Amino acid sequence: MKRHDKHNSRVMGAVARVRESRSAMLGLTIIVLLVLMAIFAPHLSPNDPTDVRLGDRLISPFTESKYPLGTDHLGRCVLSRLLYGARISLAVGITVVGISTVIGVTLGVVSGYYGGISDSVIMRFVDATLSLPSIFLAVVIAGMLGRGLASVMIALVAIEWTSYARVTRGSVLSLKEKEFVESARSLGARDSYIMARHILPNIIAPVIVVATIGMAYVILAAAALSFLGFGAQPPTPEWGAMLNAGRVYMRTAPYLTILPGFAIMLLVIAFNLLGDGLRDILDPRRVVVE
Amino acid sequence: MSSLEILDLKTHFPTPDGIVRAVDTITLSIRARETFGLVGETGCGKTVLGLTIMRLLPPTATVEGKVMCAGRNLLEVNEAEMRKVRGEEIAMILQNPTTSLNPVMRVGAQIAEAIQLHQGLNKRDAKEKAIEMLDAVKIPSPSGRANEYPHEFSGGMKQRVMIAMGLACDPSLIIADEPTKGLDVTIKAQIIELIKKVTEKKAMLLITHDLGVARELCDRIALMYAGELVEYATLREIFEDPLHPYTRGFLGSLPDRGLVPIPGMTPSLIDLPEGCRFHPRCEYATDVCRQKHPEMIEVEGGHFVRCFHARS
Amino acid sequence: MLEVEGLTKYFLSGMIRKRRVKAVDDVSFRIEKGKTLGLVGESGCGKTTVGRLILRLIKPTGGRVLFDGIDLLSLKKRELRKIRPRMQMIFQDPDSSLDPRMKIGTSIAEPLKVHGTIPKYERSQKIRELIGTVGLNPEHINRYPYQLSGGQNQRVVLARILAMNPDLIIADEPTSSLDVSVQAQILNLMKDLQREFDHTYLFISHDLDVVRIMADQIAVMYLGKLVEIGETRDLFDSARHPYTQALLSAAIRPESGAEGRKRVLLKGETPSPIDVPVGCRFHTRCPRKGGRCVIEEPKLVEIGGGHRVACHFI
Repeated sequence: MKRHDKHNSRVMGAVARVRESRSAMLGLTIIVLLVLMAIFAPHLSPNDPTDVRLGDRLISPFTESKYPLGTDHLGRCVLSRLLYGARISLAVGITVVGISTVIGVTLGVVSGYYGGISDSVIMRFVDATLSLPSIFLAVVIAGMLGRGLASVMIALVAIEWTSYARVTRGSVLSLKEKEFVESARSLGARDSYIMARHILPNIIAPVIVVATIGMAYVILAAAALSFLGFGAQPPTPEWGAMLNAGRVYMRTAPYLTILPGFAIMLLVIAFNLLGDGLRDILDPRRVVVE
Repeated sequence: MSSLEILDLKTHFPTPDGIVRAVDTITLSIRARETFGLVGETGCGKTVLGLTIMRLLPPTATVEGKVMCAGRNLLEVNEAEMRKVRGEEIAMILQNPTTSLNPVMRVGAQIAEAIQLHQGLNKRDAKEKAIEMLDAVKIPSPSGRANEYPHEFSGGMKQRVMIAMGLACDPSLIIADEPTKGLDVTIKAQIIELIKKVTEKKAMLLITHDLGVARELCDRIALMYAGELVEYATLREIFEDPLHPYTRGFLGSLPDRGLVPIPGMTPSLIDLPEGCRFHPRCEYATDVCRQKHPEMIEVEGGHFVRCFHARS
Repeated sequence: MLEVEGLTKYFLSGMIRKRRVKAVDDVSFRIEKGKTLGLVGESGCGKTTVGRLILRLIKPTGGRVLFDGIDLLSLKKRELRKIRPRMQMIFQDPDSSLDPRMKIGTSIAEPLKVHGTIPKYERSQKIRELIGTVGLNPEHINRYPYQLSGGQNQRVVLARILAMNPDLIIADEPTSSLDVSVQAQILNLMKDLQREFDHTYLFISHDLDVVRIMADQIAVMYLGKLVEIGETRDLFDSARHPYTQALLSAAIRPESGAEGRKRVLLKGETPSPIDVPVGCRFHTRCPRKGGRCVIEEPKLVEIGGGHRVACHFI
C-alpha cells in the first residue's frame, strides 16, 4: 500500500508533474516574474510613467542611468512604462478570461447537459461567432462601444466566451454518458446537484488549459486593439499603445517599438508554453505507469 | 526440437515509484507444432512477456536473459534482422483488432503490405496472396471484401483479418494475445475452431486469462502470477492434478467449478511480497513461505511447480 | 414485484434517410420479490437497453413497466425521482461508475445526503458499516477510485447501492471486466446481500455459466426479442430454441474440454438490428430452418412450467 500514500491527491500529482514538464515550468517562471514586476511596479520604476519631460526626449537605452531603457518622444521613461504596462495587460487578460470562463462554462454545461433547443440556440451563436475573424469582430464591437479599455474588454469577452462554451459542452457530452452520472440520476439526484457535484469538477482540467492559452490570445488581442487606437488612451502606459506611438520613430528610435513588442511576445509565449504543458499534464489519457 | 526457448528472462520497468517487475526470471520452451498456453490474470505480466519476445517494448524497459530462436538470441540481433523475424518467423495476433487495423486502409492492402515487405512479391501478386489468406480464414467472397475498409467488418471478421495477417508470411511461431477477447460466445467458438485449424502445423504461444480458451487450444499450460511462472505442465495435469495453490484457486473460482474465490487481490508488481509471492493469499502458507522465495521444481516428468508444499 | 409488458424501444438511425432500429421489441417478463432473472444474449441484442428502459434512464417507445404495482412509465419527473432510489443499477465498468474526483467515502455518502435519510452526525458511522458489509476496510474511505482495483471499486458501487436500501437491482454485466478470481468474490457477495436484504435482481450477462449460478429464471434475447424464457434448470436441461441450444453448446468451458464434445457451430453472425430478417429473426443462422420461418414470425408460446419458447418447431 506504500504507493498510495505517495500520491494522496491528484492535485499534488499535477503539481509534481508541472515540475517535470520543462516548457510548462519555463512558461510559469516567466509569468510569475512578470506578475511580480506588475505588482511591484511602483517600487521598481525609476520614474513616473506619465511624467512628460520634453527636455529628455528620445534618449537611447543604456546611455543614461536615470532612464535605463531610454525615453520616448515625450521624454517618458520607457522602463517605467513597460512595468506599468504589464499591470494593464495582465489585468485585462485576467478580467476577460475570468468573465468569459464563467459565462462560457455556464452556457456550455447547460447546452451539453440539457441538449435540445437551448443547445441549438447557444451553439448556433457560438458557431456564428467562431466563423468570423475574431480580431475583425472585436474591432467592430469596440468601435461601436467607443474608445477605452472597458469597451475593449467587453468586445473580447463577447468573443472569448464561445471557445469556453464549446470546450465545456464537448466534455459535458462525454461525461453525461459516464455511468457515474447515470448512477447519480438513478439515485434520484436533481439536475442542479449533478451538474455542480459531478459535472463541474470533472471539466475543470480542460477549461484550465483553454483559459491559459486564452490568456495569451486576449493579451495579444488587447494590445492589437490598443495599437489600432481602440483600447487604452494616452497617457496610459499600455504595450499596444506604446507600440503604436513608437511606430513613427521606427527609423530613429527602433527601441520604442522593439521593447514593447518584445514584452508582448514574452508574455504571450509564456502563457502558450504553460497552456501546452498543462494540456499534456492534465490529459486524462496520460496514465502513470504502476 | 524447440521452436522458442526463453531462459531466465527478466523485463523490468524503472518508474519514479519503484521498479515494476513485469516479467521476473521466466524460463520456458515452446516445442515445434505445440500450442503453449500462458494463463494469468490482469497485471501478471503475461502481455509484457509477449512484447519482450517480439522486442516491441518501450525504450524505458530493461531486459535480461535470453530468447533463443533458430539458434540465436533475439535480444542480441540487430534491429534490421529483428524486423525480418517479426512476421516471417514470429507473428503476433493482438487483442483488440479494432485498433490494430488501420481504419483508412483497405483490408486487402493491409495484408498485402506485410507480404510485400517480407516476401518481396510485386503489388499484384501480394494482393492475390492477401485474397488467398482471407479465403483461408473463411471470409466469404474474399476478393470483394479485400477492397473494403475495417469499419465494414464485424468484430469477429476483423479478428479473422488479424489472423490472416499473422499467417500471411508463414511464420513458424505465432504469439496470440487474448485472440478471443470481447467476442460473443457464438463468434468466439468460430474463432477458436479457426485458430485450431490454421495453427495445426505451427508452434503457438497463447496468452490468455481464459482457461476455457486455453483448454480448447493448448497442449501445455503455464500459470503466471505476479510476474513469474508458478506452475507448468500438460493440459491434462493442470486440470486434473493442479499442484500450486494458485492454480487450484484459479480453477476453483470458475463459475462451473463452484465459484470459490481466492481471498485478497493480486499484488502490485512494484511492491511484491517477501518470500513466496502468493503467500498472503494462500491458505497453506507457513513460515518458510513467508521468508524464502520458492524455486521452480520438477515434481514429475515435465510438471513444474513453484511451491514448498507441492509434494506434501 | 417487477412486471414488464410489451416493452419496446425504437431508435432512429441514419443521417438522411432515418431508419427505425428495433433495439427492444415487445419484451415481457416478471420477477418475483427476492428472485433473480438472468437476461442473456450477445452484444447488440438489446439486453442493456432493457435494463435502462426499466429504470427509465431512457424513454420507451411502448409497453408497461409495473414496479410493485406502480406504472413507472406514467410517472411525472418528480414522482420518478422519488421512486428511483428503490431501483438501482450496477454497471459493467466499475471504474467509470464512480466519480473519479470523489473520495470513496463521499461517493457512498452521496445517496444518504441526497435523500437526507440519515442525520449528518450518523452518516460516518453508516458509511463504516456499509464499507464493512461489502468487505472493504475503513482505510479505503479516504481513497480515490483510481487507487483501488476493479474488484474493490465494484464493492464500493455495491456499498453505495446498499445505502439506498433498494428493492430492485439491475446488474448489467457486473463482473465481465473482472478477473475470474475476483469475479467469484463479487458474485458471492451479491448472493449474500440478496439473501440478507431480499433484493430482486435483473442480472444481465452474456456469460451463461455466471447466469446459471445467479439466476432462478433465465430469459434469452436475440435481436431485440425474447426467444426463450424459463426456470434456470429447465433451460439448461431442456433448452428448446435452437439459439439457446447453440449458446449452450458454444460456451467455452474449462470443464467440458475439447475431447468428445459436439458443438453446434452457428453459421455467420448476428444481422444488424436495422435489417431484422423477415419472419423468424433467427432464420438466417438457424440450423433447423423451415419454409414457415422465412414468412411468419413465431410467437412466444408456453410449453409448461412457465417455460416459453418462440419457435415454429416445438
